[in-house]
Amino acid sequence: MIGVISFHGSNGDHDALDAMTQAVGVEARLVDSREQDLSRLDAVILPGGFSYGDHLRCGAIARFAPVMRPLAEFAARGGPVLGICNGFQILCEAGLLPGALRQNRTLRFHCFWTHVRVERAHTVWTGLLSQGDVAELPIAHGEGAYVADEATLAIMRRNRQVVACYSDASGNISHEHNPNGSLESIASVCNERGNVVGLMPHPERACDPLLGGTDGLKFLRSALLFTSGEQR
Amino acid sequence: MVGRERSVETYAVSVMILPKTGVNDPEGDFIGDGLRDLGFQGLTSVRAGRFFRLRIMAEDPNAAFRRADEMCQRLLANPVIETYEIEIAPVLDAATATSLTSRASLASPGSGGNGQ
Repeated sequence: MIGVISFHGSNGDHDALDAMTQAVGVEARLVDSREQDLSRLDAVILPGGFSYGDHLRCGAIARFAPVMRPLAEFAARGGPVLGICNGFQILCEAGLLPGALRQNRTLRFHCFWTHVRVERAHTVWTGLLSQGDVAELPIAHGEGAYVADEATLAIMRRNRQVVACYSDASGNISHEHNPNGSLESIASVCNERGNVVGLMPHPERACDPLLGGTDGLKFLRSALLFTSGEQR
Repeated sequence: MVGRERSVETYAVSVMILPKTGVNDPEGDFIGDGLRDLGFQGLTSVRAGRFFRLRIMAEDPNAAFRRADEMCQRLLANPVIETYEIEIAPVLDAATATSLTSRASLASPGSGGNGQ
């Protein structure tokens, strides 16, 4: 059973739920932000979308939701956690992922398809992909510029915690294809262990040809390998 | 205030949050561009942040500061990307404030502000 957390104001929770149940084809349910026990879930998704109105900073208020304590315990036990967009921002605010997400370089809300190149396939959420694979995924955010100080970035490099970077369709990384001003075009990072992943683009909105692409499926399906004990 | 014994005072606490040096601040940059477009000369930097004015009841200014500092650490600022500055001033009762303000206006400008 996959849990998708509904924070007050989340608007991507049903997208994530539908992607898991219909496109990926697993059992999934919404998890209320006040739930205290996540121990029976196989994986948890923090969805995209403006929890608590993005007041103060994106993710700053969601961090105090009651569900965040059991989530931290779930993550500490090695449970697969994926933060999509606002979910990524929440995981950073909660200290479960390094760095932070700031306003886009342009100060505009960006909503379009991008490409990301996979930098680390050995995470719970990228196990079905290979390093260097390019996936086409949509972004929809105003605060997606990834930031970390040099010391943090050095540690992340050493631990290989950069999971994916914005690129062109061939996997070339450049300023031009960095949609928001992220440090080193970073689109996705993970914790040291690789079970907690934050991803700024939306894999759950790239699970159906009718919606423009299916590259998101590989990310979401990867966790199933892990939960069924087949992770390579 | 002299000779007054009170266990708890109310303090006016100003908290200013700014992006850390080295953290990109596109909002500040855009505002800077706007000011230059208006013809303001000599502007070398604009950093855009956030300002909070709090009222905190505490035993003394140090206690009020410590409380505000913890608030910044835990919620008001994100220490990963932001710095903060805290200023503490006592909140004067209405009579004292009026008396100080009238004295200040008799003297020179620029004194007597108490954060009201």
